[in-house]
Amino acid sequence: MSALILAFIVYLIILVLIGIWSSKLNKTLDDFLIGGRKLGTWPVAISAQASDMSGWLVLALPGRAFLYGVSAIWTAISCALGTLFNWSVVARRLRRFTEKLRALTIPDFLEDRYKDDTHTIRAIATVIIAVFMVAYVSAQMVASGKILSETFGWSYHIALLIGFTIITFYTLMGGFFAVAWTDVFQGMLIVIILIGLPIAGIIKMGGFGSVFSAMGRVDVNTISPGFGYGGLFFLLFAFASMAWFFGYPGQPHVLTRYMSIKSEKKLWNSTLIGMIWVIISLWGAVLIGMIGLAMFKDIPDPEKIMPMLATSLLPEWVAGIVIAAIVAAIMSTADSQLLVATSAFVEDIYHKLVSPKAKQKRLVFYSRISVFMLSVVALVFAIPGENSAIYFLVAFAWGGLAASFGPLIILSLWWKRTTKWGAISGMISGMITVILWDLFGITSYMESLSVHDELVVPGMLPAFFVSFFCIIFVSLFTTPPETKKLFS
Amino acid sequence: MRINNLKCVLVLFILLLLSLTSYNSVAVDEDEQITISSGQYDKAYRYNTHGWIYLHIEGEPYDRGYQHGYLLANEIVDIIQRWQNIFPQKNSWKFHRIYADKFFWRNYPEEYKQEIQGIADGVKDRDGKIDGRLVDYKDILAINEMYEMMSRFRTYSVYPFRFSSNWMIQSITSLVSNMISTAEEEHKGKCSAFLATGDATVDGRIVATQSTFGGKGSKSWWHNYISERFNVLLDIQPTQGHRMLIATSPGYIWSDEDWYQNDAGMVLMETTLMLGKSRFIGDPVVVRARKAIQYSDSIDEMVDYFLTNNNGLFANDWLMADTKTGEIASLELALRNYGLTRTKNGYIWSCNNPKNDKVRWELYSIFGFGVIGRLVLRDFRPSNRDIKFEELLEKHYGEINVDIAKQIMSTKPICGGSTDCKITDSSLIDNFGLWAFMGKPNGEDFISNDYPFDKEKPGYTDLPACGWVNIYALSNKNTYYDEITSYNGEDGVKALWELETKSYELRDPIYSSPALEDDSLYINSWNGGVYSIDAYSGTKNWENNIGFNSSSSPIIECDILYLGSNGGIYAFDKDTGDIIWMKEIGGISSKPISHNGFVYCGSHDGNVYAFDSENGDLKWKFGTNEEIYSSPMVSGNVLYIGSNDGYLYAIDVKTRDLEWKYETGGPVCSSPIVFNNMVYFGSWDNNVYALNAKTGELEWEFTTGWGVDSSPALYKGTVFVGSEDNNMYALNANDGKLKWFFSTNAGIKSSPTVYGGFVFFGSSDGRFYALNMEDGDLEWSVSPDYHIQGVYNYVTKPIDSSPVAYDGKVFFGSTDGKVYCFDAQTFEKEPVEKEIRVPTDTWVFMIISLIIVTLITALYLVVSRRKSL
Repeated sequence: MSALILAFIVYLIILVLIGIWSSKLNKTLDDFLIGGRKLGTWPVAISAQASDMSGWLVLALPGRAFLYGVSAIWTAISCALGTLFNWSVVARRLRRFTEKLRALTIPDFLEDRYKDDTHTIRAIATVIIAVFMVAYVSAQMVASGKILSETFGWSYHIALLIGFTIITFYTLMGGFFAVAWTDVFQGMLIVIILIGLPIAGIIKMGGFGSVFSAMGRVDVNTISPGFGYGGLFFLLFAFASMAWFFGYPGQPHVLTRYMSIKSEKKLWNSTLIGMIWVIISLWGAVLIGMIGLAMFKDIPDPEKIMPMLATSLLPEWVAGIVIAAIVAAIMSTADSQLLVATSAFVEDIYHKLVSPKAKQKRLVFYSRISVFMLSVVALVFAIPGENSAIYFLVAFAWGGLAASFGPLIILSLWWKRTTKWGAISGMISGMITVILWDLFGITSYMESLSVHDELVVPGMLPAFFVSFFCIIFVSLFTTPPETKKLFS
Repeated sequence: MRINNLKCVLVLFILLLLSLTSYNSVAVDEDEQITISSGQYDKAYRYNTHGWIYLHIEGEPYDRGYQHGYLLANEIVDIIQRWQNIFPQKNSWKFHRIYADKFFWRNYPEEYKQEIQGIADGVKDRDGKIDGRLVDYKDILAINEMYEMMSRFRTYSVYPFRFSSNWMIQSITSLVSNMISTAEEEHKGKCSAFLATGDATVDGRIVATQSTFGGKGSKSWWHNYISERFNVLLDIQPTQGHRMLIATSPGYIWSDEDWYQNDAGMVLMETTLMLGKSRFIGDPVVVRARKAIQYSDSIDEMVDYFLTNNNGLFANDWLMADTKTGEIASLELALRNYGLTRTKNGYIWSCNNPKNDKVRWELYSIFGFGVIGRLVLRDFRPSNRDIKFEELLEKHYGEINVDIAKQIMSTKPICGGSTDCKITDSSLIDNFGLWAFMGKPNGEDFISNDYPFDKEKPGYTDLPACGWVNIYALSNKNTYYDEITSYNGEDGVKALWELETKSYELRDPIYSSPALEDDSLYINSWNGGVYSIDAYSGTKNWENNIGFNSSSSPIIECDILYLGSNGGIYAFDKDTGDIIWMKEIGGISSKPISHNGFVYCGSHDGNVYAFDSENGDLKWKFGTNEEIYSSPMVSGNVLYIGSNDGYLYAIDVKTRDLEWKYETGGPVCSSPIVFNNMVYFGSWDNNVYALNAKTGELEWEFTTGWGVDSSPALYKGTVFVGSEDNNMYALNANDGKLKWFFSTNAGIKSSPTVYGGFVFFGSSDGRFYALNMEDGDLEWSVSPDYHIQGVYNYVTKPIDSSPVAYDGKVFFGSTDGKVYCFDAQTFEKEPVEKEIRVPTDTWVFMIISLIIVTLITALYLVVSRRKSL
C-alpha cells in the first residue's frame, strides 16, 4: 500500500476517533444539532468557515482559477466580503435573537420571530432547506467522487459510494460536536495546505513572474483581471463572478454556527480568526488554480487541479494528507448540511409539530435515521454528476438558499416592520426566481445563444433582489408582529 | 455498546474496501497530439505538401468514401467543429444536421449517398467524435451543404457579428445603403478566377486559375477560419465517370470553393454571386457540380448538368474549360435566369460580379425579388478587381501562361481576400497536374492574433502563405513507407545568423538553393531579389533585384553568377552584383550549369538552351515536348536533363544530338546526378531511377509512395533522395536497395546535402532536418518558422531550398523569406519560449484586491471593538 493511501487512511482514522470521542458529548437534541450553544471561539470561527467553504474551496475555486486565471479573484473577493458581512451584520443579532426566542434552527427562529401559529413559515422554510440542502450535499458527494476517483483510480461510481459511506457514517456518529471539532482540526489543516501548496508551486515555477508568464502562454486572458473583457462585458463578468456575495446571509448551515457560540462577547475573536482563515484560504485556493494552469496547461477536469498539483509537487505521504484534507473539507460541509436538513425534519417538523413531547433519545435516533435517508437521496442525485462542474452545482444550491433566506434573515434581524406575509412572499419569490432562472429560463437561454459561461449572471443575484423587494413591499401592506422585546 | 460494535464493523469495512481497491492504477491519459501526415488504406493514400493534403481515393462509392473518411478522420472532425463553432447557438449543429437531412438528402443520388455514408463510417471507425458522439452521415452531409444552407438562411454574417454591441445598427445601415446605392460595392465573396485561350495565351492552349477567398475582422473572421481548412487536393478515381482532382475541404464530396479538373481535360471553377431566390424542389448544387465534373466530356454537358433541376441556391458564375477543344465558357447561374458566354479565343475573368443583365436583374434588384437587392435597377459596373483583371489580361495578352497567372493572381486587389490559388494549363492537365498555393498568393501571412476575437476558437490559427507547389495526381505503382516519429517539441537549435529578404514590405519566400564561393553565400528570392551574403557574419555584401519572379538557383563559375528567372537568364558580376548580360527567353526554373564556355539551362517553353557564357548569345537549343523544371547536369560531353514530357534526355553538347532518352511514367522535375557511369534521378511516376549513363539502360528503380521531385545526392555509395511521400530515403547506389528511410510530416522537395556524417535537408512541413548518415536517426531538427503540428497541416513555411554546408556550417533558405546559417556539427538545444509580457494590471489587481479586503476587515474589527468596549 502506497504512502499516499496510508496517509489518507490514517487521517480518516483520526477523524473517526474524534467523532467517537465527541459522540459521548451528545446527550440532547440541542447537543446533536447545535452543540448546546456551548462552543468556544475557535470551534465557532473555524467550523463556520470550514462548513461554508467545503469542497467548493478546495476543488471548485482552484478549478475556476485554472480556467479563468487571476480573474477568479473576483470570486474570492466576493466570498471574503460576504463572510465579513455575515460576521458583522448577521452573526451577533442572530445569536442574540435565537437565544431570546430559544430557537434551534432557522425555521424555528423565523416562526418565533413572526409569531406564526399556523406554521406556514416553518413548513415553507423546511421544504426549501430540504430541497436545496439535498442538492448541496449532492454537490459535495460529486466532489468526493471526483477526488477519490482521481486519486485512487477507482471508477467515479465506486468512489462516490465510498465518499457517501464516509460522509454518512461520520455524520451519524458525531452530530454537531463531532462536526464542530473535526471542522476545527480540518480547518487548520486546510489552511496550512492552502499556504504550503502555493509556496511549493511558486518555488517550483521559479517565482511569481514565471507563473504569470506560463499562464499567459496558455491563454493570455488568464492574466487579465477581466479575463480579457473590456467595457460593459468587463463589468458583467465581474458582477457575475461576485454574485456569491449575496448568498452569505442565507446559508442555514453557516448560520447555525453563529447560533451555537457560547457567548456574544466571543464573537469578536471568532470574527478575527474566521476572517484570517477565510482570506488566506481563498487567495491560496486561487493561487493553486493559477499555478496548476501554469504547470499543467490543459487537464480534462480543471476541478481536479488541486489533487493533481499535490501529487506532483509534494512527497507522497504529504500528498496523501492533502487528499485526505480535501475529502475532509468536503465532509465538513456535507455533514453540516446533512445536520441542517435533518434538523428541518426532526426538530422543525417532528418535534415541533408532530410530537412536541418526544424524548430526547428518540429524537436523536430519528435524527440519525433522517441523516441516513437524506444522504441516500443526495447520493441518487450525485450518480449522474461525473461530468458536472461542482462550481455550478454549488452555485445552484447556494443560490436557492441565498435567495430564499438571505434577504429574509437580514430584514428579520434589522427591520422591525417585516411581517409574516412579507417573509412568506420573500421566501417563495426568491426560490421561484432562482429555479426559473437557473433551471428553466435565462441561464439556458443564454447558453443557447452561446454566451460564455462566465458572463451568465447566476440566478441568486436577481433572485436576491426580487425576494428583498417582495418582503419590503408585502410587509408595508400587512401588520407587523409585536417585536419590541426582541429588538430591545 | 451495540452501536460501538457497529462502528468498529463499519471502520473495518471501509479499511477493507480501501485496501482492496487501492490496487487499481490510475489510467494514464496520453493525450499527446500525434501529427498524422501520411496514410494508406486499401488503394487510397494521403500525403501533406506545402500546406495541402493530397488524398487519392478510388473504387466504388462507399469504398472511396470510407477511404476518405478513414484517412482524413481527424481533419474531418476538425472542420465539423469549425462549422459548429462559427454559430452562436449551441444547438446550431443539431439544427444544421436536421435541416440538411430533411431538405437535401432526398435529392442525392444513391452514388453520392453511399460516398457520404462511407466517409462517415471511415471517420467513425477512427473514433471520430462530435460532442462525444460518433460522427454519422448527417454530419458529413451538413458540412457539404453548409453554403447552401447559409444561402437559404441568408446567414453569411454570423458569429460574433451578432454579439458586437452595434450589430443591429450596422446591419440596418448596410442594408439600407445597399438598397439605395448606385455605385458598385464589393461583394462579400472575393473569389477570383480567369480563363484564357487561343491568342491570349503563349501557346494557344488553355490557362485556368482560381483563388478562394477568406475574410478577417469582426464580421467575416469565420471565412478564414473555414477557408484555412480548405486545403485538400482530392483525387477521386471512381468506377464510373471521370477521374477528378478537386480542391476542397476534408469530408467534402464536391469542391465548394470551387476548383475541379477531370481526366477528360475539363476544368470547372466558380466565383460566388449574390444570394438569390431558391426553391425546394431541385437538386442541390453539391450534386449538380459533382455530376458536372464526374460525367462531363464537354462544356455542353457541363452546362446541362447545372441547368437541369437547378434549385437556385449558391448562385455562381461557373467557369468551364475544355482543353480538348480549347474552348472556355462562363455560366452565370441564378434560379430563373442564366447567362452563358463561350469563346475559343480570348479570356474570361470572374470576380463575383455578374455581367449578364438578366442575372443581375434577378439577383441584384429588388424587382427581381433579390432580397437584399437594390431599389435602382442597374447595369454592370466593374469593381476594382474587374478593372485590374482587364488591365492585366490585356497587358499580357498573347503571353499568358502559368507564370503570368501566378503574377496576376498575386496582384492586389485581385488577391485581396485570397486564401489560396490553383492554376493549371492544358499541358499540366495532360499529366493531371496543377500549381497550388495555400495562403495568400502574394506571400502575406494571415496572423490570427491581429484579428482577435472575443474568445479563442479552437483551431483559429494563423494561415501562413505556404508557397507555390506543383503536384501531379498520377496513378502509378506506389509503395507506402511510414514510421511515426515524434519531433513536435518546442526545442530549437540556435541559428548562427539569419537574414531576412524583403520586398514590397512582405516576406519574400526563398525557393532557391544557395551557392557558396569564397566565403560568400549567393541566393535569390521569389520576388527577384539577388543577394551576396558574408557566410560568417550574415551581412549583405550586395543585393540586386531583377524584377521577375524566380525559383531558379544561382551557380558561380569564373566569378560570374548565373541565375534563371521567369523573365529569362542573367549573368552577374559576383563581386559587385552588376548585371553583365541577360536574355529574356521566358521562364527558367532550372539551375543553370556552366561548362566549357557555355551556360545551359532548361526553360518553361520546353527547350534546353545553350548560351555563350561571356556575352549570353544563344548558341543552340534543343526542344522537348513540355516544360522543363529539372536542372541540367553535364558529365563528359553529355548533358542530362528531365522534362515534364516524362523523358530524361541525354544530349551530346558537342554534336547537339540526342544520345538517348528514357521514358518514365510522369514528369521529370528532379535534377539528375551522374556518378560512376550512372545517372540518378526521380520522376513523378513515384520512382527513383538509376540508368546507365552511356546507354540509358535501366540499372534499377526504387518505388516510393508518391512523386519524386527532390534531386538525389550521392555519398559513399549511397543515394539520398526525398519524395513527396514525406520520406527521405537512403538507397544503395549499386542496386537501389533501401538502407533506411525517415518520415517527416510533409513532402520533401529539398535535395539533401551530406556533410560531416549528417544528411541535411528541409521538408515542406516547415522543419529542417539533420539525420545520421549511417542509420537515418534524427540528430537534430529545427523549425525556424511555422511548422505542421497536429491536424493543422496548412500551418507551415516549407523549406524547399537545398542546403549547402561549408566550414562547419549549414546554410539554407526558407519560404519564410529568411536565409539561415546553423552550426552543422554541434547543436545547442535552447528552448524557445514565447515572450509574455505580464501587464502591471495583473500584479496590481492581485495585490490591491488582497489589501483592500484585509483593510475592510481590519477596519470593521477596529470599529466593532471600540463599540463593544
